[in-house]
Amino acid sequence: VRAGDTLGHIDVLGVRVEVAAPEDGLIAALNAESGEAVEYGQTLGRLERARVSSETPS
Amino acid sequence: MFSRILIANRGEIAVRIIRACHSLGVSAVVAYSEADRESRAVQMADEAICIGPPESRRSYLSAPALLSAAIVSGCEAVHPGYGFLSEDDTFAEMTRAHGLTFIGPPAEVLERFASKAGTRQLLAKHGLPIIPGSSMLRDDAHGLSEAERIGYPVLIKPSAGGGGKGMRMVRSPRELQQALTVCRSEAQAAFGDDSLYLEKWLDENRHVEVQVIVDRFGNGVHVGERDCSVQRRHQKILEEAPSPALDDGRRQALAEDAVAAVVAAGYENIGTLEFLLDRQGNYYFIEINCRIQVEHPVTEMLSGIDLVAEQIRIASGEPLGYSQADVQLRGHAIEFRINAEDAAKDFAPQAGLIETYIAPGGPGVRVDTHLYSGYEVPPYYDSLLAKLIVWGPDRNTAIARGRTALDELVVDGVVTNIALHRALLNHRAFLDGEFTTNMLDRVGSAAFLASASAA
Repeated sequence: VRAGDTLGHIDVLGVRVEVAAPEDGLIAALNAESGEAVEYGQTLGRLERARVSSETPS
Repeated sequence: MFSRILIANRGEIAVRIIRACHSLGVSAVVAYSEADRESRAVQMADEAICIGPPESRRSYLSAPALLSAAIVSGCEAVHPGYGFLSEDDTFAEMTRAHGLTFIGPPAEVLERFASKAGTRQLLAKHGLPIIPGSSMLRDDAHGLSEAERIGYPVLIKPSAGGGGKGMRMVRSPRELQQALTVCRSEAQAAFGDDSLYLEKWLDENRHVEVQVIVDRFGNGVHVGERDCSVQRRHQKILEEAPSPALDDGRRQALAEDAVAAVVAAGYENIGTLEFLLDRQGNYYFIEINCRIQVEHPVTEMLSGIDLVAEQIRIASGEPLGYSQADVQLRGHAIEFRINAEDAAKDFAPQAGLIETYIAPGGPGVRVDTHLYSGYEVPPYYDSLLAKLIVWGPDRNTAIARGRTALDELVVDGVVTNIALHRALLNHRAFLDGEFTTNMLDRVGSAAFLASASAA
């Protein structure tokens, strides 16, 4: 994915909040299923850069 | 009855609401901020959901965060506790719009009682004596002319909220002009609403309040009064019931007037009507709190009624199921608010690790708290750590049990106001039942404490 790409969205009371990629990289892991309830601060997935990996908090 | 309730609050009141839920056979879901991950309420809840960062505006004051937590966790109702969104009619309306029940008065009832000035006019129409006051102030000039009309000293009060924020007593136009600016910014910061009004200030007054329970069918009872005259800068420190300042005739008249007026005005759920009592025993209605109050256990000790359970039951649509004659008040109760604050530093709130917490016990002793040994008090919220409540068949026994319990209570790690409570229980004015709301501020709480420890 590219920095700024929309990876998905979180629905908060019918308002869609976009989750965008903070940097270029590869999706290394997804920790949440589509439609699943998530809470504040939960890790939704892991983005891997070419050399360094970084976390994507919600 | 509901099967699952979201608790949109923290600290000791979240723990208290969980207890009420469990005793009713209802599951409790706690919505918590990142600062409250290790809280007692989170540990006790059937489910806990993190709703935001420590900052209240983005967690405990965020309607979308709270309501989405309620929906995803399968709750049918939301209990707002006290403070935060507990008297916010917009939040109550949003709760209903999402198919959930707000545990408290319905939105339209909250709206009717939202303005303090409007509520005084409404309840005056239904027979309650009110203290002379102004309408909502348009600007400083309006404030000055209203103060002139009412007569100094006057008390500046915010339209929203409580707890002493945005409140100042002033004795001259010059003081008024300075204080209006301060109060406006305090009220804006605390409640997001900077509207203010004025009230005549009674120099030597007591604060007495009446607890009412009203169902949606118009059945209402009072559960007696509480005396909250021991205050520091308009914040209650110690509350007791019955009030030592009322004889039985006045006591009964006050409580009956209060419940009759709110029932006639269409109030619903539990609530508290606050009054000022002057030296001559005249009482003036000042405001209504449309929520559970910090000091509710005092009334529970006297009546045996679980007020939080009543709140939930009534919100679920159940009728009251009993009448005034069934409400029996026995003995005397005192509540001590144990706060994390340092008297030596002008009562600045304290945060930090609770190294040791040991609760007192014995006959007539109750503690409502979220503390445990090893708990870290976060710096973001109010300083209330625990409420120690003692009951006795009479006031002297309650005071004696209070002294014993305060001596037993151990809260190590942060500075608390326990010493102030000990001093109060040895102070002549308190023992004689003569305390007034401005007594601590007039002497200065620190000076009061110093003189008590010297004696």
